[in-house]
Amino acid sequence: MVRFKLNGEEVEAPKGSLLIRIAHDRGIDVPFFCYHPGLTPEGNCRMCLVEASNSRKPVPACTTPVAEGIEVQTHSEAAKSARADVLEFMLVNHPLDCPICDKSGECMLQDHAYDHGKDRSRMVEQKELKHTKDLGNDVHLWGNRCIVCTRCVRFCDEVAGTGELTVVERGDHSVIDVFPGYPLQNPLSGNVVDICPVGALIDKDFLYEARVWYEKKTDTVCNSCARGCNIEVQTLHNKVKRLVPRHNPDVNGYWMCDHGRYDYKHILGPNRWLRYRLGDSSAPGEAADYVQRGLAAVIEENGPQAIGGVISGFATLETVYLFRRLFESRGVAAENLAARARPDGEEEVFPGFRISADKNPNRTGVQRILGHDAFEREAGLLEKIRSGTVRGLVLFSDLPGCPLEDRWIEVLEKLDFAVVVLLEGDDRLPESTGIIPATAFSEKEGSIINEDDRLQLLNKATELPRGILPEYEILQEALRLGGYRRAQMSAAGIFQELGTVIPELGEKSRRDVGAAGIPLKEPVVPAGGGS
Amino acid sequence: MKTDYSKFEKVLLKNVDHPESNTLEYYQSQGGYDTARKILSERQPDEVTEEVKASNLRGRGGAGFPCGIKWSFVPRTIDKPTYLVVNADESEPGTFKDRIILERDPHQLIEGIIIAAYAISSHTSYVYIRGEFSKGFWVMAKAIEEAYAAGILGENVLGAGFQLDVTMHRGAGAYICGEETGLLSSLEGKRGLPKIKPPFPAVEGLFRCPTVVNNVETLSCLRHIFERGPDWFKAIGPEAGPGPKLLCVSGHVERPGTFEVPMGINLLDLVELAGGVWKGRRLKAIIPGGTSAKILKADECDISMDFDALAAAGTMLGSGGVIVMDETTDMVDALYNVLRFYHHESCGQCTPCREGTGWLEKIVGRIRAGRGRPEDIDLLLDISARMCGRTICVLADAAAFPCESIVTKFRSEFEDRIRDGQGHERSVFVGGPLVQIGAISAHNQELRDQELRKKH
Repeated sequence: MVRFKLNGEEVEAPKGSLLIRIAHDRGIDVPFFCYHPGLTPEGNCRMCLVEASNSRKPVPACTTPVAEGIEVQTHSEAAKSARADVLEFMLVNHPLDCPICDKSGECMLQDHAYDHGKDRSRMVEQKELKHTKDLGNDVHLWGNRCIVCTRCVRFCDEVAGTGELTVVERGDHSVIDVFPGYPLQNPLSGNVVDICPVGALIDKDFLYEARVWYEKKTDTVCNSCARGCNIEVQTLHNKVKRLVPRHNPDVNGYWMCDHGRYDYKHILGPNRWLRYRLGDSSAPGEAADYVQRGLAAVIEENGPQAIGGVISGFATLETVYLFRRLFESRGVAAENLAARARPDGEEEVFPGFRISADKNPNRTGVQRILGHDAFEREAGLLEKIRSGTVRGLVLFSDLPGCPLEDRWIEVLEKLDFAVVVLLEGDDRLPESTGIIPATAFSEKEGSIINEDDRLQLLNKATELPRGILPEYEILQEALRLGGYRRAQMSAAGIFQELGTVIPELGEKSRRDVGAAGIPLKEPVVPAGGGS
Repeated sequence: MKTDYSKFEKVLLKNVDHPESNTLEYYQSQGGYDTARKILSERQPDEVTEEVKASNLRGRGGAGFPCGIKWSFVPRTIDKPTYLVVNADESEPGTFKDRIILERDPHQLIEGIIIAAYAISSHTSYVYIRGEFSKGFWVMAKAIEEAYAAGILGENVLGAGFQLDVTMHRGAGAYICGEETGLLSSLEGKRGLPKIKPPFPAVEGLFRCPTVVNNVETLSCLRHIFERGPDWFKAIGPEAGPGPKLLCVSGHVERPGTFEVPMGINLLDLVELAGGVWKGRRLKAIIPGGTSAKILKADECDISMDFDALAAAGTMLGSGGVIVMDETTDMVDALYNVLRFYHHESCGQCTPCREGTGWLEKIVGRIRAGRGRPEDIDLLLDISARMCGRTICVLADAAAFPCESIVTKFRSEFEDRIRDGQGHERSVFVGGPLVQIGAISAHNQELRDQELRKKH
C-alpha cells in the first residue's frame, strides 16, 4: 500500500494503481478522452492532466501510478488551466458539426467543453480536413471529428485481437483508417462506436436514427446467446433504436458482440406475428380461457398424461415457472414437458471477449426449473404424440429466426388440442392450431439465468403492441381459471415464488437482484469477461 | 578576446579528411580497435562504466544526460537481454555532425559500440540510421561487414570471448524517430510514437527489455576517453560537461560546416572559425543548438558553448546545430520555416502538439501573408506557453521554444509585418510550390535595394 495526498486528503491505495482510478473511485471528476478502464491507458489526449508534487510538469492521471508521499492536486488552477488548454487544442480542428452528428448529446467532447472548456474560440484559421469513409460492415468514419484518442485502435488490438484499425498520417492530419483490403469486419466492431468519445465512428445502423436525448434507455440483458451480456436498450417512440453494452465486470466487461447488437430487427420486423387465433375467436382476453378449456377437455377424455408442453430457451424464468405449474397442477408427468432450443452456433473467443456457442439466453433457467434433461425430452414427447398417447399440447415457438421444425408441424394435426406461442409468422401451421403471439425480448419483464449460473433481470424496454398480453399473464390466468391460483401478479410478484423451484433464490426479490444480477453458484471467471 | 581554435587538436574528426578514412585498414593503421581490445581483455564492465562516469561525458544527442549514469541505470541482474541502440537518426534542422562520422569514420563508431555494449553487457546492438542518410547507411553497412569478417564483431569480438551483433535499421523519414522512445517504437516495427516515461528505456525499452540509447557522437568519444584517460577528456572545456564537441555551423557564414572544438568555445569565436558572417554583413541572431533551441540575439551571442552556460541563458546546446542569421534575415519568414517543420513532424499523438503546431504555423503564415492581426502576437506567445510541458515527448516544447523566443525577441518585426499588411508583394520558393506571400518589412526592402544598387 502507498500513502499519498489527494486534494489535501490522506489516501491509501495499492501500489501501482493509477491516479485516475483512485480519483474516480473517490468521486473526483478527472475528465478524460483516451483513457478507458477496459483498455491499456495511452496518455495521449492529455485531458486528465493533474498536478503531482513529484513532477514539475502536470502529469496525466491515467498513466501515472501513485507514489509514496506525493501530493496530487486535481483541481488546482494549474491543473484546471492545463485541461482547459487541452480542450481548446482539441477544438482547433474539430468541425463542431454537432447539429448533424449522431454522437451529439452523449459526446464527451461536448460534455467536457461545457464543463471544462473556454466559452469562445481564438482559432480563426482554416481547419484541417480528413477523410470520411466506410470502414467496414457496420461502421462509418467521420475523420474530421476524430480526436485521435486511439481507443478504437486499442480495442481492435487488445480486445478483438484483429487489429484492423490504425492511425494514418501524422500531426493534425492524423486520422483513423483501415488497411487496404482489410475492412473493419470483426464480430465486435460495433464497440468501437460506443467507445469513440466523439462522433468520428458512427454505427451505420444508427445513422440519423435518433437524437440520443430523446431516447428512453432501459437496462436489460442481451438475448442472443447464453452469455447474457448486460445491455441498455435505447428506444424512441416505442421502437428499439439500438442496443449498447452496459458494464458488468462479471459478465461482459464493457463490451457486447455485433450478433447481439443488431439482433433486434425481428422485434417489429415484417415476420412478427401479432394476432390471436383461438378457434373462432381472436380476442386476446380469451387466450387463457382457450388454453384452460382445451387442456381440460383433453384431460377429461384421456387423463392428465395426455397433455404435454414445450417451452423454449427464450422464455423467462417466470414463464417457465408458470408453465411448469400449469402442467404440474394437473398431475402431468415431467417427461411430458420438453424444451426447444436454437441450434448451437460457433463459439467465438477473442483476447478480451467470448461469444457463447449456445444461442439460448435462458437454457440454464429452463433446465433448473424443468430438469436438466428438459432439452433432450423433445424426441420422447414427439413419439408420444405420434403414438396418440399425448393429445393436447402447448408449444412455444418464440426462437427468433428459428421456425418450428417440420417434425413439429407434422404432428400438430394429429392433436386434439394444440396451441402455439408464436413469435414469427409461419404459414405451415395447420388451421386447427391455436396461436398466441409471443413477446420479443425487449418487451419482456422477467429474469433469465446465463450459462455461468448467473441470474439477471430483463426489463421491458418497449411496450407490447396494443392488445397483446405477455405469456406469463396468460399462463397465470389459465391457472386461475383452473382454480390453481388466486390472482394475477406482476412479473416481480411471480419472481418471489421462484424460490420454490430455484432454492438458491430463497426469498429474494427482483430488487435484491439489481442491475448486475446475482450468481447462483460460485462465479466462474468468464474467459474474456471483466476488466 | 579571441582565441584561435583552428589549432585545436582534432580527435573525433582526425581521420575524416583522408580518402580511405572509412576503411577498416586505414582505421586500424591509426590505432583503431586497440583500445577496445584492451578494454575487453583487461577491464570489467563496471570499471568501464565508472571510467565513463569519471570523464563526465554528457550525451551529444541533445539532452546532455551524463552517459555513464545512464549506463548505470541498466539493471544488472535481470533475465532479459539488454540492448544498445545507436541513435543515428540525426534530423534536427541545422545538424550534420553524426553524418560525418557515419560516412567518413564508421569504425570509430563501431569501436564505441563495442565499448558501450561491453559496459552494459549487451550482445545485440541496433544502429537506427536516418532514412535519408543513404550514403551513411551503405558506408556503415560495409564497415560492419568488414568488422564481422575481421572478427571484430560477431561471436568472439576481438578475440576476447565477448559476443556482439550489430544490425542496421533505416528510418523512414520521421523526425520524431530521433526521440529515443519514438525511435524504439519504430525499431519495434510500430508507428514511431514516443512512449510515456517512466519506465525509462534503461529499465524497459526495446521489446520491453533494458535498453541504452546513445548518440553517434557520444559513442565515438568513448575510444578517445579510454585511449587518453578521463582526465584528458575532463580538461577540455567546463568540467561539468567537457570534451571535444562537434558543432555544425550553417546559415549566413562564409564557410559552413562541422567543426571539432573544445566544449565551452565562445559562440562568436565559432562563427569566426566558420569564416564569419557572410558578405561582410552584421550578425542578427543565432540559434545555438538546432531549431528547437531558443534563439540568441546578436548581443547575446558572446556566450560559452556548453550545456550549463546555454541553459543559464535560457536556451540549450541541443544537437549542436548552430544556425547563423545575418541582418537581412526576415524573422517572420525564419519562424514560419521552423514552424512548418514542426507542424510537419509532429507525430500527432498528444493533443497540444498535434493541434498546436499546426495552429502556430497557420498564424505565422497568415502574418507573413500580410493578413496578420495585432492580437496574433500575443496569441502566438500564449499558445506556445500552453503547449510546453503538456505532452509525452518534447516536440511540442521544441516547436514552442523558437516561436516564443523569436516572437519575443523580434516582436517589432512581427508588428511591422502586421501593420504593413500586403504592402509589398513578392514570390519566394518555400521548399515546394512557388507561393505568393505578403510583405517584407520596409527595413529589409531597403537593404535589398541597396544591395541591388551596389551590384549594378
